[in-house]
Amino acid sequence: MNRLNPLYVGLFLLLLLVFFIMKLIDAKEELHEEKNLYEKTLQTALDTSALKKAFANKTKEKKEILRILSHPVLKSANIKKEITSTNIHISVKNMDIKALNYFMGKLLNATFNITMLQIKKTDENKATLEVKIKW
Amino acid sequence: MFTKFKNSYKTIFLDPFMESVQVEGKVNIVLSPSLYWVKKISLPVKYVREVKKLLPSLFEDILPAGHYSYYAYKEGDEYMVFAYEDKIILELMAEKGISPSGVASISFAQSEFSSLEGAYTIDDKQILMIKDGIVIVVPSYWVKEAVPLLLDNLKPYKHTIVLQQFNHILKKSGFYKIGFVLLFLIIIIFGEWLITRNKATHIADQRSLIFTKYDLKPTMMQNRAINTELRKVYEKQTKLREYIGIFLKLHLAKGEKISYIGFDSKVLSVIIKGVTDSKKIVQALQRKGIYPQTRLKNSVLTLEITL
Repeated sequence: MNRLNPLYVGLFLLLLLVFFIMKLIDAKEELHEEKNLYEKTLQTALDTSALKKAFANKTKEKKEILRILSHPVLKSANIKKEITSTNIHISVKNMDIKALNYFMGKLLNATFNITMLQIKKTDENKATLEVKIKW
Repeated sequence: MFTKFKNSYKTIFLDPFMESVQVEGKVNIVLSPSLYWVKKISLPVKYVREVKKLLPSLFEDILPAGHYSYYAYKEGDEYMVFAYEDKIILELMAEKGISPSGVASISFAQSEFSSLEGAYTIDDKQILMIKDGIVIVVPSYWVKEAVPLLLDNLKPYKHTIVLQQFNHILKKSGFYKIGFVLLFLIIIIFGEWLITRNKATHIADQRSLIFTKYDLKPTMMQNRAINTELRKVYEKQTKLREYIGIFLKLHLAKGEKISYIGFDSKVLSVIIKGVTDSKKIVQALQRKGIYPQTRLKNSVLTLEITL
């Protein structure tokens, strides 16, 4: 007849308890790391998504700049535009001050990625303008 | 500890008056009647397990104070019931040079020798004999004719006991209580471990969904690189707009006029004509946190700010 010593059973249970405590500590650490990783990923995702919407949305930016350029105030300004797959190059000679103010107001208040800008005063109420927007 | 009767093991008759022994390998131990209390009783119960519950009360009138363990087995229509002190037996074993780990089994002289007839010498002073069905030890001068007790040919009986090494510290029920507490804690910790693991897996799944929802690249390294690049663009464009705004709101002296604003993706250049003293303009810009490179030539002030 085999009989198990209760002391060995107790020791086994104690070891089992220690084993599961260790496993629980590991699992808690893993959970903490997963939470941190989740928070960082979400933060990066939200940040990148917002920045992409602002500076890497080619369709939206193209539509927006063409809408600004089609405004009646700029119609008489004889604006030359050159659109490529990566940017738009706008140049205006002898632009009157009213059209310039309107255009610059719209340009600087929108989230365009301006890579080149030149405003040169030609006389009291006129200026030449050159802008390159990258998308 | 597993204990098993095996015929191949040497058998030792454990008695307080025995000589110390040197044990090699495992041994079976037969307890001398002086190491336990025994009763032969008739009880109106069917099973031994029912008798075991009554054992402490059956002995309470005769036993001296101590921590006792009990044992019982059925013999015909009657029950043989035993009470013994684990601590005393263990101490005696230690005194005689027998380690508990070297013991294969422990049984009572009562169960081993009840079928014998006559008297048997244990040593010079003691004789083992049976009286009214109970195995007893008596002084050797009580019986004239006795033969030596041969233990080597003894066929071990099935009634063996396991000594509780900590019985004097903690009762068996105490062990069970501790066992249940440990088991309860194990179940709680195990449950908590499963829940924590599930939470971690759920968060990992949610993290994978972020990649799909926000159209991220497969690795975080790529995503961080894109983010850094876009953030640089954002910071540069914000500065460009802020600085142009500052220049346009700048209070210029009479005759001073901005004639040029240029930006070439890195440097913002502003030319102001009609400037006689550039200090006021530079100081005004510095108050706004702008520190430009300046060049004044023929009343033309060129300011350059690297973004």
